Amino acid sequence: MGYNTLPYLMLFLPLSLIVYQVSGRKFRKYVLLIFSWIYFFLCSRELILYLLLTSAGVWLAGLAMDRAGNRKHLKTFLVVVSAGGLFGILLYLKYTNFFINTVNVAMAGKSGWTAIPFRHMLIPIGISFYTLEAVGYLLEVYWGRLEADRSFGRVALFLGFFPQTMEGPIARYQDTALQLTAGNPVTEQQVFDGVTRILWGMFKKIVIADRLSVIVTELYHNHSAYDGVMIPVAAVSYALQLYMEFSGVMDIVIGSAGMFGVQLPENFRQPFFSQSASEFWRRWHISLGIWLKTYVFYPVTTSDLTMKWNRFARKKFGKYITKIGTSFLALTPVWLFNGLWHGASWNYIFYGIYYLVLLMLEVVLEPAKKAFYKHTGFQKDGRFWTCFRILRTWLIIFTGELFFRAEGFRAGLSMFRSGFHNFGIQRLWDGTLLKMGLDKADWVAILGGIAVVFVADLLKEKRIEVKAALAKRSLPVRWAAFYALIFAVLIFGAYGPGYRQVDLIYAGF
Amino acid sequence: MDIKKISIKEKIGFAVGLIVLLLLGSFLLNVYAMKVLGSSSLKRHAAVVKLEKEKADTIDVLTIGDSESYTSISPLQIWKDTGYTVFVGGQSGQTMNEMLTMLETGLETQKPKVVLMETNALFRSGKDLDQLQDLVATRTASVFPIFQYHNLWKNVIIKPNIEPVQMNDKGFEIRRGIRPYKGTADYMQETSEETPISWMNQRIFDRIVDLCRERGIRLVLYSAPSPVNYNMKKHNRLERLASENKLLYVDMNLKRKEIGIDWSRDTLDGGDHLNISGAEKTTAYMESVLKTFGLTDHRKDASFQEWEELSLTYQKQAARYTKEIRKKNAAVTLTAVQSVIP
Repeated sequence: MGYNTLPYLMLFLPLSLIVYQVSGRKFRKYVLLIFSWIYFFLCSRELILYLLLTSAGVWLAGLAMDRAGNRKHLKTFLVVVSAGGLFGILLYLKYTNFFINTVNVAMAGKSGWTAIPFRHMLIPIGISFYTLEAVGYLLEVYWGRLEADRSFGRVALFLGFFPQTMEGPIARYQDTALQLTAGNPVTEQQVFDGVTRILWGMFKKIVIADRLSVIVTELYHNHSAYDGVMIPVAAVSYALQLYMEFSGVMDIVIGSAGMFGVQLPENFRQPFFSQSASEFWRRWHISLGIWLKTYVFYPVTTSDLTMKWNRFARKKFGKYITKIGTSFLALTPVWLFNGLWHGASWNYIFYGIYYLVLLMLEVVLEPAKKAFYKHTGFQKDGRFWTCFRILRTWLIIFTGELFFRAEGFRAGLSMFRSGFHNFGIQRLWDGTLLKMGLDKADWVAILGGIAVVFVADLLKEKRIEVKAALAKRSLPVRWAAFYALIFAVLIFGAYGPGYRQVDLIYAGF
Repeated sequence: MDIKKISIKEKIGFAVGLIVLLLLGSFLLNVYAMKVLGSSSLKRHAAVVKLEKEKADTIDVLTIGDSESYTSISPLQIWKDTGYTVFVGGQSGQTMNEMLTMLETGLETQKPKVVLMETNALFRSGKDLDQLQDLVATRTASVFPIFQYHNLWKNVIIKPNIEPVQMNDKGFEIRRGIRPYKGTADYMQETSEETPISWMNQRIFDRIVDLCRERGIRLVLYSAPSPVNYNMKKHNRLERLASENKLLYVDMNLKRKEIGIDWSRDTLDGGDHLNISGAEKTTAYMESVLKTFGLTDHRKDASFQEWEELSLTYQKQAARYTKEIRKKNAAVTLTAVQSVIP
């Protein structure tokens, strides 16, 4: 039951809101928990056991660490066992077949070697997301930044809250747990804001992303049949599909949670206005970036190994080399983790390494960049250079997404190479694009939709809130804008005969 | 936008405005859809419209089901032989939910004595949640057709390819092609196993049963001959379903010999659907079933003159196509025989 489906939007969400509202204040947290478990059960059936055991395990481990008090070794043992156990389950479920395949490929042809058969794995929804939340909670308790929660219900609700089960955002305990159990009544304002946000998310998902999915599936699935300009088309289409879909679903998620008075963290901040790869990752899947920064980057940066390196390198090589070395030590685990977290495939690992290299280049080239602006006298923040950096970042994003979406690393490499053969730019207008499952009207809807989202993002970038601006207008104008959004989704949405429902991309990670 | 600053009157005004716009949009699109009913995007819906346009209280037997239904029961042949009025409300890939909608649509204007339900759709299932989605979508679209016709906006940009809609076939589709079934001859091999029916399909089926009971309609389950779609596991489940609900179940797959199905010439596409040659045979068999229900022969009733006229045209067309098929089949057989002569 994806968040964009009618059963969720027209049955599950309204029903949960009604039951929540009519329940007494102190019972509301239980209502949310029960609906969250029902949601999980509807999506993953008996695999809900994973969530229940994780919730119980995390709750108990937190309490045990609290009781361990100053016994550092015991606390360390507890956090290693509990977080290690959680990652172990994730590794086992998601990566077993990846390792089997890797071993099989490496050993193929060796005498006496029999290929290890693949295992049929059933993976509960959202395991990659709730595992990170759970590990985050355990580390906070371990570091003493958070007191272990005595309420099992709150821990369970934090890990299983239904609007964020499938695709996050990956929340921090201290940010959402208390809101979840506050039991505040649903207000008219929350419902209005939630519905507006959900509609906006639906616009991005079903008007743009679901249409782009048609051409993306064709280009990546039959990649060997395409070359030249069709490869950039594949890369750009997928990057836009992913943005429209993931950010659209986040709008639905944040809108849904907001109706219960729960403010979830934002996951996107106009990423296509980024001027560098590092800035892109501060604007794209923000909650994953924050998790990695908090629980991987900082611990590595402040670890004994890094400290030793810092002391040693400063004396021997000076500041510049030290910075490069420290950045490498801290960024490597972050980006390997980022790649692997997305899935068990070499193209995801490559994706992580790709950004590691780019971010390292940013560190390495920083003095050269400064010198360039100083000596040429160019205005760094001038319009030309800003546009240049944005376009350069687009190139980085699109190339990365080409490998990310490709059906395996080799397929990605082959697509990348074939992009330089037989470019044939005329294929953009000679009707080739109309032979891939999308007609002229679909393209009009896609381009029109992207233009609308671009304008909305541009206004946000300039700190102009469309909602706030609309609020100042007369009532008929406001209602007209609202009607326009509703009817844009209803009329231009890619649903009904001729379209198939597209599963949520990030729910598969 | 501070919702508190908006008065109740204005909020009601907004809701009323939204409903009016939805209804108005639905009405306008409905009018337009009727004009372009022959568009490929509306083909499925054309089947519903045809049923809606049938003269009220004239249908004795309503058939519902997927493509197996409209390729196996020929209403105008039944008219010629028995004088019963049959309408096939079939759609390609009809889901159980669409089947229920088709039945409800038919019951708005008709009072059939019998409903023939082709059973293939009972096994068409995705996840229960996908089916729930389908159910919610169909129900919403029945209130606000804007959900059904919204894609017609594309006609502003692309000139639609509109084919004339055949309004006088009573839902049957003549299939002239021939591609023999070459699989195992005995695809209905004995087994005690059963193919399950999804929870959602079972609920919708129960609703169809209840609806027929409420209206005093005899519901008959039937399975068209199709080695691609049927086997003994499905038969076992359907037989149990029929017996649990005290319904008659006619499995034509077990009566192939009696019906006279010849897989070398009676199928359009290798055993998935019947062509006109096969449909003539299954229709004749179904006539023998319908004759046991005491239905009225309308052939001498002047108010059914239209059926007689349509039947005459249909007979000529069907005879020509059947002849064509037999000729093609003879040629195919001859080529096959020649190819094995040393």
